[in-house]
Amino acid sequence: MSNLQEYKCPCCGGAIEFDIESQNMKCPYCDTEFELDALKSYDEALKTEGTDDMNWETNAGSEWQEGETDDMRVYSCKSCGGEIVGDGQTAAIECPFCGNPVVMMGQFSGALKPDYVIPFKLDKDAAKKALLKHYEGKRLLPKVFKNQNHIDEIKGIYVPVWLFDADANANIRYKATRVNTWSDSDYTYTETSFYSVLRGGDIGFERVPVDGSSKMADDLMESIEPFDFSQAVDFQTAYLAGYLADKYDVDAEQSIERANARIKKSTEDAFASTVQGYTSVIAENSSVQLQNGNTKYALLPVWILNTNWNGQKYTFAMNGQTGKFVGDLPMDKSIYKKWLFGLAAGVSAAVFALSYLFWLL
Amino acid sequence: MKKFLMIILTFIILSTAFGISAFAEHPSRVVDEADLLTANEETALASRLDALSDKYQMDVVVLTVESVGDKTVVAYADDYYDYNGYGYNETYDGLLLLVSMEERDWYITTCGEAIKAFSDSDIQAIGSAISEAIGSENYYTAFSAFADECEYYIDGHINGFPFDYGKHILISIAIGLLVAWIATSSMKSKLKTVRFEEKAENYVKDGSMNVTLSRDFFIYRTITRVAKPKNDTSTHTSSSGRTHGGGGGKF
Repeated sequence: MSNLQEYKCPCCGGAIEFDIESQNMKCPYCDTEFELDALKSYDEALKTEGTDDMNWETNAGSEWQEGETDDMRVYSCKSCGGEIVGDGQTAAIECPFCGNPVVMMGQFSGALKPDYVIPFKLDKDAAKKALLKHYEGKRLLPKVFKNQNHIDEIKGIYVPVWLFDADANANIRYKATRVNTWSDSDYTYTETSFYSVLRGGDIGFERVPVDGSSKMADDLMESIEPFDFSQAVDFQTAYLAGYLADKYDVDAEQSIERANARIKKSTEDAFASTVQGYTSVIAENSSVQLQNGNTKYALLPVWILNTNWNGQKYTFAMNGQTGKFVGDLPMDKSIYKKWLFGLAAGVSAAVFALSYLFWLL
Repeated sequence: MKKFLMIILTFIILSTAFGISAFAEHPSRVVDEADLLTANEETALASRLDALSDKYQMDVVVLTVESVGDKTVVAYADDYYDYNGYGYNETYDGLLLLVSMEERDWYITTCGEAIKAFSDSDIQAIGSAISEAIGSENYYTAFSAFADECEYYIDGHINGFPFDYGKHILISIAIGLLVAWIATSSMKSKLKTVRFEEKAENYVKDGSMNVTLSRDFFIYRTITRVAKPKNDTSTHTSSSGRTHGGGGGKF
């Protein structure tokens, strides 16, 4: 009795028994029948499944060299508490995140020196033009927003990000189905065949960025991706001239979770694309092991535009390298209703006229 | 010679009276054996049904009885239709509504072209339109409604059904709303450009993907079946050997 094997039903999770009548394995709970070989393979696949191992070396950034930070000043915003870095030339400035004046706190010190920086490639005028272009083709945007809108200030800021490099080794089990339908004179039959699909292998990720600033909204930062890292250069304080830089306040350790989630999702998707010939494919289990995990610290160029309208704040961001422009816009409810009911009436009338014509012919 | 003429005359008179009259004179289309209608109502209904039958070359008959006796309503209706000379053309086109008071049954039997004109669900629709009036003893109302319904289905079968405004307007509005909703949703979505990026596909190293394990195996299958919707006409064979369609119910 010691090697009594118990199988779990892949369909409902119940314990499966041998059914004398059909001479097959059958689940007494959901009545699904199985062949023993299929069950054995399925069970083996389940047993070899591991857990995720997604650990990283977080040795990003380096120490500043002596004298390197001499020209750098730290400014603090009394309103939102943000600390930003600028060169000593920057006189009266406003907080790029909330628009309030900031005060110089003194000499920059501490924190890590970034490994890379992607320099600004697009200037302030490009950001202004991009904003106007952003308004185009938005039928539900309130007209007054477009006309009255004055961008309070446009600021170029270097946003700190953590870059994660790793090779992922993945073992993924998908549940896939094939659906076949046919019919006789009385019934339509649908046959759904379930398959267990195993995929394993390696895939490499390079510089997956995670926002290291708590004041820069993560969704805003991810919306202007991707940045082209082939143009990244080693960090020099000279790149900061005329721009502001945010100091990271979310460290690499705290950013790992987000990087892992994105890497895992993309790994599942990449291997799912090799599962073909099925009606549906769902990842049931995946274990991802990371090797050669490495983290770097970089500054990325972003233009930030703030505006207030009807007491609400609207923030736009432009990728300072590629020009990708994002920012949520308000909706004019009365224009929305006009479109909804106007279109509904127009389309209904057209469909009715067509159906009447069709009937006449 | 005179005698010969007399014989011929007698033959003509006799054959007119007994034999040929069956072909020349159409049997009445209202047979009110249960005496549910007044004489005036009977005349009015008969002229309505005569006109209807003549127009579409399809007999529409109303038969009321106290009881169908030992027969079933189906057999009674079929036999009454078959053995009393109803039906146009060689296919005996027409239909007969039987109302039996004792059993509180109504049954409509169809024959020839009428089998095609009335599906099972059409007959049930007619039944539900008239059974309430019969139940509340408004017999003339019920049979008038029967004549109206028959005209609708027969005319629809021959000339095509009239345009159903209500149905088409409802479907058009539903399609219009759906299209407008999809279009405005797409306009709305253009206003929203800030969202999290859930994937990292832009950062996959070129050519770094290497599949080392690839196994697909079948585990189990399920089969479900769904009955097809039916709009059929069921038929049966009567004692005379003719094919009839039809259906019935209680009132």
